[in-house]
Amino acid sequence: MRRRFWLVAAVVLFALAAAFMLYGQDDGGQETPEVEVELPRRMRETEKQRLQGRRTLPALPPTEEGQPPPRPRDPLLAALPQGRGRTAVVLEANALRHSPVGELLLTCVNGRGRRGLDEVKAKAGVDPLQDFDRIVVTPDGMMVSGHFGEARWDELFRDGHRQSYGEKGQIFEQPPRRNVLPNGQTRESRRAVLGVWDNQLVVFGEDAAQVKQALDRVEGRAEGGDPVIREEQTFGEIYGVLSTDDLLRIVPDVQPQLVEQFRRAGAQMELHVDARSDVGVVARVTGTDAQQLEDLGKTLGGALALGRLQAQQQGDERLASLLELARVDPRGDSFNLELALPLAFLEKQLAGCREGVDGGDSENGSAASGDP
Amino acid sequence: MRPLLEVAWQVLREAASRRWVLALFLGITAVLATLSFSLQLDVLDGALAATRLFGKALGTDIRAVDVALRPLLQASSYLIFYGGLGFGILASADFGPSLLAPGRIEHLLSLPLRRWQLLGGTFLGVLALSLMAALYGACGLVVLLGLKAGLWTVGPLLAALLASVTFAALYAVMLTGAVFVRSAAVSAALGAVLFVLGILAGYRARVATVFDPGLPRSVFRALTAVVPRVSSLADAGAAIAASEPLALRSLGSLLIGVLLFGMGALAVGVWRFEEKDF
Repeated sequence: MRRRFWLVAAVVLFALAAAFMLYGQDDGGQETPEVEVELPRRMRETEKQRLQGRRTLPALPPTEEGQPPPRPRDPLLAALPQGRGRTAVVLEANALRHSPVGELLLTCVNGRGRRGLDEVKAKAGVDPLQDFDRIVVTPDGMMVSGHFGEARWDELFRDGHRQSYGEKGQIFEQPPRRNVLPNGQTRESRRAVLGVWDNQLVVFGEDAAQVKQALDRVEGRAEGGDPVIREEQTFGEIYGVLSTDDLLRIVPDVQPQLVEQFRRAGAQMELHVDARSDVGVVARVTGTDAQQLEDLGKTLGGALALGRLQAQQQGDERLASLLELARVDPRGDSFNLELALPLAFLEKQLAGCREGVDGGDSENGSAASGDP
Repeated sequence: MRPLLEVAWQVLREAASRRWVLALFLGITAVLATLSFSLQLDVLDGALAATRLFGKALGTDIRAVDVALRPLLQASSYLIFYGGLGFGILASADFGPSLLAPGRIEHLLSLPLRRWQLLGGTFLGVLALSLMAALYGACGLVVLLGLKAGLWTVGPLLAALLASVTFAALYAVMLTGAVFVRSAAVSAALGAVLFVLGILAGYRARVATVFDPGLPRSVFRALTAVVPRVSSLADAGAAIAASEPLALRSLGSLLIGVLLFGMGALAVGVWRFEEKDF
């Protein structure tokens, strides 16, 4: 009897063991997916093809040694200001519009925003969501490439001045206007100058000379120089170059010590953002002083670690998990500052805005239905 | 309870006199000492800025020290777990057979001890030894990372505890096997087979897809249902060491299941031991 007890106990224990292990292991459960965001570190094959397709300007003869490089054959890149230490950021508007992040952001555009877009389409004959291909932001103004064959520039600049410029350029000038504000006061609007090249490139500026310079660069009348963005840097859905001054102007609340380190290193940032699915950001930082640059990389790495620690202490799990994916990758004479924003994270962040828009739209909708 | 602990104590004393135990602790000490002298971690504001191994810079990213050292913590955890289990199987294979050796077993049976206490005490003694070795290695690693990188984490200690629980299940089968066939080789082979089956059982959901749906897959599922999930616990140990989320519904349930399996195997051993004539 006693011997049989051990055998029965063994059978019961094995059965219990199996039950506990089956429950604990959860074979049917989903494993926690590992977050892996593709980061834009080099040009991909599709981007090489995109680059080839944009080389529409005529080829120039090879330059002699010691001569400045020829202008890029992509009209938009050719129009950009030249020289190191400048800032220009390109947004691939069409690619972003059709990316998951773009779709997500569009759902956040409320009724007023949508009406604004419709108004632009009705007045200018240009649909920003369909006709814009790329948008360039520089400290001096903006440029947009795309399809502007249907644009009604003459109607927009009815009170202004229009002149042809160069082979395919047109310049529209709108003199400053006096606008009467609701409180009865008057305010003078800024002068608006717009240059259009071959119905595919629009240059916005505040003075005609600046716009003319951009058109001169496109048509090869300006002196050659280092383009601010080289062709091999045109990868990602957002890319560009930021000078130290502009970078420090954009990023708020930078510690004075970090500002000083940026200046000492002569740092310049090359930015690439991949938004095809998740959002991956790579900022390649180069500088004139290698030692200072190395120290800057370490300081930024430390700042990321401290930020994550503070987020953890404050219970901000979202920020902590985001900073966990951020890192500094030293590469000898430069370093990459890398950041990953999983789409799931962005969806969570924008969920509130979407609900707000839905609510706002329903209000607008009810107001509209009551409006005769 | 007291006779049980006395037997366990005797096993520990006997182990202390063996060379392999000395070799085990010397080996762990050597690995820790090599790491402490060769690994140089440059930590700045909580970020691992540079790593040097044997004076050579490793091209690591500058990240928060706990994030940057995750691969090291995970690798250490797997090393402690699988290395500890493998070494434990080989080193403790002859404890059972030597307990049952002619001459010695008659002497032990003449003592005022019950047979189950003899077997249970031997089991506890070997388990205590494996726990000490695992904790020694894990503590050394924790202190090393704490002093070098300011990263004080209990992860490796928890991983060592998981390894010990898993070893308990394996050793119970080895000891029971020794009761049936008094051979160190058979005991080690049983441990090794269960070790491999346990790795498979941990991935049973994925492995099951290799079998055709229907009877073959159901048979595989039924057979592996009772096997300790060695690889699941190894993965859990690595995840704990690296402060990452567990891919398990309940670690507690899994641990209880593995312990119950060990007790079941030991119960079979006691049943056989009780009816055996010496």
